[in-house]
Amino acid sequence: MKKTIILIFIAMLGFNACKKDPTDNNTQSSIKATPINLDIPRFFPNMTIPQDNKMTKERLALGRKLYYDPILSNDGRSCSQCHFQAEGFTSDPGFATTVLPHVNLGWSKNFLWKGRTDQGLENVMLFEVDEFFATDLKKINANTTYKKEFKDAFGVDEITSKEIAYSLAQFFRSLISGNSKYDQYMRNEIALTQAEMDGMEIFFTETGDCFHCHGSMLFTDNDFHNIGLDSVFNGSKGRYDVTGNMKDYGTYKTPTLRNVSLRKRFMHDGRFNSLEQVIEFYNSGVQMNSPNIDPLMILPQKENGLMLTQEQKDNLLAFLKTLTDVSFTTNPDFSKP
Amino acid sequence: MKKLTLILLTTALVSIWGCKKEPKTGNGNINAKVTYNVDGTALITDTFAYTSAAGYSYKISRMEYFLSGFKLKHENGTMYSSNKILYLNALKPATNSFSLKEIPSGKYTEIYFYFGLDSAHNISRTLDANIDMANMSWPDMMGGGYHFMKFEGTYKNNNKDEGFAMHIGNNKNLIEIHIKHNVEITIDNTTTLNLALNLNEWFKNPEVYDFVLDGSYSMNNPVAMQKLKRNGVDIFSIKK
Repeated sequence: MKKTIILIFIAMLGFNACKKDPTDNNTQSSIKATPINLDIPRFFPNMTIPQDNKMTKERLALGRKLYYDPILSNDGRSCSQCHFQAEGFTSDPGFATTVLPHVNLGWSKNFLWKGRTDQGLENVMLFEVDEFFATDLKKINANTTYKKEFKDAFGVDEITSKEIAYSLAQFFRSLISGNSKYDQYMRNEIALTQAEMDGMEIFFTETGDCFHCHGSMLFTDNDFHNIGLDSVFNGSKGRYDVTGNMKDYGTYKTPTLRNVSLRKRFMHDGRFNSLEQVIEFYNSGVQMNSPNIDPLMILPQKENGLMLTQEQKDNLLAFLKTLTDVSFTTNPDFSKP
Repeated sequence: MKKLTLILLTTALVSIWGCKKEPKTGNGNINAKVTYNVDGTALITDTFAYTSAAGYSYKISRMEYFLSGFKLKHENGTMYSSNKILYLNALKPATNSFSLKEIPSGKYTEIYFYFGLDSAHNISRTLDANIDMANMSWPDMMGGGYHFMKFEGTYKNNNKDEGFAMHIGNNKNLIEIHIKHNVEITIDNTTTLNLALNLNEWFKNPEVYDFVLDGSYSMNNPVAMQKLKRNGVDIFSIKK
């Protein structure tokens, strides 16, 4: 009989040896993990979600709540103070540096104008928590509601910067804009006007050559370019300030053009106040002698700018307006809870 | 009791042995790495360090491309094929190593692959596995699909800086690479394959490419792309 028990034990051991060890942090027993899937718009690239921060209802809800809560800072600031949903999660607070929109950042690999962080959303959120907001962890840990919600979402008794950053990263990952008029056109649901079609032609051909930096369904290449805004750089020298590498001299991150018509200031320093001014810059204002200017800005056939007619500029503007996604700017899932 | 013991013993052994992977008899792998040079000099970016065959001093700021359709020809005439689609970026080291798996053992004498995407994969918005691949899209109104290559930089034209953008796309510009090289694949082992890409080959051999005469922006220039296609056939070599 004893022999039989030993053999049964060996048999069970054999079967159990085939099972994988649980390694996913989301599946710890003390965590309330309600898995959710993000609704990725058609034609968008795959979004990589870290194994240790798979999307859950609880973490996402925490991230959304924190986004709007000045408890993140010690001086009344919150993410939402500068990032208004109605303006595509950006705004014009009058800073020297323009506020980049919080949209489709789940696909981003470089963050902030100079790419100060490039290790994913969790990493940039850690920067925001630890450095930008200098979050007072004692204050959050003293909040019994947050304490319980973090315990539910992460299984932790002590809230650290990591859990705050991870929950914020989940909310950022959910801020997806992919239902603009252009998207609906791409899905064959609606037609564009003739002016919008003509503008699209300018955008996606060498006439305007916008698509090389603002291409794909994300309308950003997630890269850094010196587009010839200045011939001399006094003060900020773009990504060079971060890397010290001459190839980054005067380069800034390509902002997405999604919801661009809702913005009030343009370029990293907000020097332009309208899309018309931006188009005119590309048309006739590029500083061709800017050091380290992107090769695409100084192609011989573009040495006098794009040379678009007024009608072409109007059509390009009409196309850019098709990138406005009202279902994103009014989505109740993204508003203050 | 003896019968029960026998059954349980068998079950235990089957259970334990069942977890072990079957040995992949007969197959081996290749780990490949691509390095970049300009006529033998290791690539450095954003310095006017190079001269094209047409005599232009130039610097390089971008080199991204796709490889696909890998095949190895066995000495017995059979062919190993891989359906891998590879995105490579000379400025991002992590993208320049790749592997070919489950290759039947034996001696191979020839390597074939495409520089670019074969027509079955060169279809707009079907290959967006990540943002790097998505960024290679080739606008529908210019033929659709993806850039096979974005090779960009700046050249000196009478001491004036001008940009060049050697972009290749469209199915008719797919480049077939063929390298005669002996590769031995042994069972359960990994063979290293070092590929070297000479960027200056785009501008010579068999034809000199002149930025001014041929065009510094190839994307909407079918003649320029065809010339680059012809020059691109031998950009790769095996690095010993």
